[in-house]
Amino acid sequence: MSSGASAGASTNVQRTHQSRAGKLATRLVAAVLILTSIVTFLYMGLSVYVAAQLGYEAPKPITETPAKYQLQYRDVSFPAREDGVKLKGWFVPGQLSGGRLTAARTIIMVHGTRQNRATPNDGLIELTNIFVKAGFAVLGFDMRGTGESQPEPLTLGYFEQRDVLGAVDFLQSGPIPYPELGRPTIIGGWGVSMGAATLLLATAREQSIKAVVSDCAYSEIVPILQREVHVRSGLPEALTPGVLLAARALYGVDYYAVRPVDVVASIAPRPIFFIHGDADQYVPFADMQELADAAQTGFQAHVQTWAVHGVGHARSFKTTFNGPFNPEYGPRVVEFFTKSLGSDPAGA
Amino acid sequence: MQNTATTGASGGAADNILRGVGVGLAPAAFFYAGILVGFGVVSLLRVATPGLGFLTQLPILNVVSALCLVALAVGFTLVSVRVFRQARRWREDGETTAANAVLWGLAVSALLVLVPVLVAILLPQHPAYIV
Repeated sequence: MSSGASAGASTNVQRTHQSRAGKLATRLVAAVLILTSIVTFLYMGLSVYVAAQLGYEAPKPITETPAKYQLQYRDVSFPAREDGVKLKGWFVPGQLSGGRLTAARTIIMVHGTRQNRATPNDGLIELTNIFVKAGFAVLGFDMRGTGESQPEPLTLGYFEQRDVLGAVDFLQSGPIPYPELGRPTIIGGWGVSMGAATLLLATAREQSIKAVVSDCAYSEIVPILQREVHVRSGLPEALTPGVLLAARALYGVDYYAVRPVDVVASIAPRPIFFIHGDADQYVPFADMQELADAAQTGFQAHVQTWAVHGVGHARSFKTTFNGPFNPEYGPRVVEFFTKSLGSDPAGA
Repeated sequence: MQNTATTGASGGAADNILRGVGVGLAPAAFFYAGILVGFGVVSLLRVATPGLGFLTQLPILNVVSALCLVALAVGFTLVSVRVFRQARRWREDGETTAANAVLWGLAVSALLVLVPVLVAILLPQHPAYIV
């Protein structure tokens, strides 16, 4: 009897111990679960939030037109290739000697991210004036989600390359802005920053673009996003993969595919002129060399580079936000296009 | 006879462990299923409503994404609480093996939930710093 009572007491003590150990284990597991789930949900929430910020910004208004330099121009609109996004722009005929107008050699101008076809910051109207006075017609347009074009997510070149291809389609088969001048016979492209990267991506897919000036293009966008997500939000770089995944769900954009460096070789033998400020703090100067090296590997490649000393991002032409302009820029770019696209058939 | 009884007892213990771990992994399963569903819902909504225009679509997508996240968090919490209760019930009923297995399953769930963040942290990052 005594031994039975002792065994029962021992079992009770054992159960109490087990119960205490079970409670402790439960609390420990609960604490770990709460901690890990808070970290993960916070990560996911921040990723979605940053992705939403990344993909949209209210478009800046068009504040200048080619009329600033008494240039003739007509407003145009055309759809992007593939998805038909409605784009707005203007066509500015080139000027030949004696004031004759021409559309034979047309340059598609592609602006930078969160800008538009007339952003004063980058001096696009001034550059248009230089091209026009050199006998080149200019097609300037707002990429999707900017200026007066259809609101769409900003995808840093992923979808915007369709806009450049739409511009080519418009020049080749759309309504002719100046019927008396006929259709352009040869097309070139000039782009700055995201516009340059987008132009490279589009040119690799479109043989009709015969020469490209790429001003401070990035070789790939993800390293820049990794840095910018960190710099602008103060959040760790490790957030970037989550942001990119969220952007894929929200906008259908694959930022990992925005890699001009992978396709730039296929532009050869068409000439490319890379320009980059060696004090660029946004797109590393090394990106130009990376792009140029990759482009050189193309068959019969014609690659030219110009490192503009002491200027920052997109400041090779307009050296500060308020000017002045780099006097070398216009002549160098015009010389490149003249060599690459030939003279105007009617004579410059 | 004794062998059969032992085999039966160890088989029962193995079943209890499997059952417990399975229940303990339910929050992780819910979490990943929820992510897939949320990702699918947002992607489908985006693809199915291009006619709305981006400016209308964007706030809808943002709200739906936020709702999916909240629903996932709430659902995850409810599933976890139910699993903890189940473990407690089994412990009170003397099914200690199953109850302990649930806790092991929950611990693994906690780690599995953290996997996406760990992968993101451990992925090599190559930010474009200016040298």
